[in-house]
Amino acid sequence: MKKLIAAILTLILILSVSANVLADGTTTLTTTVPSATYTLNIPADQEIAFGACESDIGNVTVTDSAGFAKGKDLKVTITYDAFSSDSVNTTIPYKINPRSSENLNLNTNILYSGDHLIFRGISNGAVAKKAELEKYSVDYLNIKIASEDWGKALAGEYSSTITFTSEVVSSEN
Amino acid sequence: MSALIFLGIVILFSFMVFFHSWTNSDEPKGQITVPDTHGENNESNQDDIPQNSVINSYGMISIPGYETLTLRSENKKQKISFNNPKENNCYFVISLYFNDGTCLWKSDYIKPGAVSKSVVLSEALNAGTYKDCILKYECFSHDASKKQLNGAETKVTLIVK
Repeated sequence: MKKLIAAILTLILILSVSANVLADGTTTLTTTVPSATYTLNIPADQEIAFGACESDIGNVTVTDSAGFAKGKDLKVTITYDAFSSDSVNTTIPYKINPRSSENLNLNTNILYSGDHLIFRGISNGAVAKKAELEKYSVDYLNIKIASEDWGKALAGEYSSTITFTSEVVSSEN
Repeated sequence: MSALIFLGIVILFSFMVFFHSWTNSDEPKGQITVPDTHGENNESNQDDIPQNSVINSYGMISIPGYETLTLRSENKKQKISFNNPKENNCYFVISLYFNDGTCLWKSDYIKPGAVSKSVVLSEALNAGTYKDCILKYECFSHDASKKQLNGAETKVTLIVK
């Protein structure tokens, strides 16, 4: 009996040590996280009040950029679809309007899905934090929904995701 | 004795992980809610509809961007991982696509501040330089619902050697 107990305890001890070894084995792989060339900051999400024709959703910016060759910019293409619902078949289309605090006359520009913003390269190998729009900085993005589209929408929960695609490009001018 | 100590540590750790995930607060979801007011006179509602409504966004997502990525040739197992910056408040699911649209790798959910497992490609690549590949970031709310948020893609050049 004593021998049986000793054998069982020994087996438990071996298994507990083995579990530790297995757990430790998964943490010993050597990997590196490559250093990012830049950080693209995008709005996470946005809540639009019912009936709102214009809503500020924040801005898209670039930070911690380095190593950009001379004559290179960062192009960010924006793609999106209308707000849609899982429970009803109506959609709520919208447009994105990039706005500048410096020049309100520019605030009629529309970024349709597939349009892009340009972040200009600067002399120190970085790119500008804010996108450039006709020589002015884009300070925030605004969602525009027509009132007639609100009227057509059936009751329900709607959502939409915006995708921001970035790539390093040669300066156009 | 060591087995009992090990068992006690496992139980305590499991309790801590469970308690932490249980107390995580939900983040507000970005969406539109259209109330069930249809059938009423739309014209009489126009005065109640705000024409300009400035809503503060519910936070930003920081996406690491790359111009190039270096991979090992003739080998599916790579020695790189990708991270989700700790300042984010969302999960990442990161995918790597070859320039012909082939999905080379897709991560599990990566929580803020964490790093993915090492990249293991779906197929080994020959040495070369491949432009217009895509590193795709899908973002999900950092709660049990894992609601999909806005996302990003970055075009990268793969340097395989």
